Amino acid sequence: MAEPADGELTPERVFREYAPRVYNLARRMLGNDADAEDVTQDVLVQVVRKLDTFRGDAAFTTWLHRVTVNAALAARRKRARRDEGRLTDPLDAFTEDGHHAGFVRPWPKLPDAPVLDREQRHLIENAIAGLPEMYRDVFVLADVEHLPNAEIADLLEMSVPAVKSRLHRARLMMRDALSRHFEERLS
Amino acid sequence: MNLTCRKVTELLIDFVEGTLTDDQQSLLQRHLCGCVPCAIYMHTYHDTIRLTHALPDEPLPPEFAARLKAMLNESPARD
Repeated sequence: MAEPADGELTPERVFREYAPRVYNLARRMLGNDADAEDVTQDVLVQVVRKLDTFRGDAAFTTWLHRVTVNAALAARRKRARRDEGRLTDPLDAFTEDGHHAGFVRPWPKLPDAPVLDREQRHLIENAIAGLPEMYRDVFVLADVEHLPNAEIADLLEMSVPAVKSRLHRARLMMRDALSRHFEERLS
Repeated sequence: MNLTCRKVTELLIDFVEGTLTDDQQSLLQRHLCGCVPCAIYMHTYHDTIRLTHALPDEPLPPEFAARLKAMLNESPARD
């Protein structure tokens, strides 16, 4: 999320500039639109009530990430939904002597700055939603929100090595999920 | 010492972040030069990151946007 530009933060500006970011972070963490709406509403009410505190404050987006992540985690605990259908660990897809157990096929070449079409956006969103929650949180914060590992560790109360380990596995799972689509494009 | 394909896969996150040691970097490059599956795997791992980075935010659902906007404008004064 971008830091607020100079000028007063008003409820209108909060709605315009931050509501979509809060909503999308919550939606991707929770995999559920209705829960994301509840979280967005709760977070933005907190933001508006504390606007004076954060006027021009560089810590605003850090605070907004923290409030959003905490609200999403609380919503998840409330929902108490367990992970369904755990994915296979991609690091198990190797032979005993450490070779790839199956074929590894290339994907079509991507442009330097890929612009995703509707189908591709849907594919990636679904792949994120399919990640087990413990991996999904780290993946969304790192690869969608672009937060540094140390900040994610702080937000999720984990060590940096644990963040890196989960992020790596999440990326491998995402790669596997996207491979099913992109390999077909070449076949 | 040669790396296995599994070990190469484990090192990809550090490769992408540029945090491999010189020795690891050298071993990895040597393996990638001789192993087509790992070279493809590395490209697709990197493409996965690039595709996710390109993911745009979806707009708020219109009904929710209207409700939220009205609520924020009516929200009581700050603490």
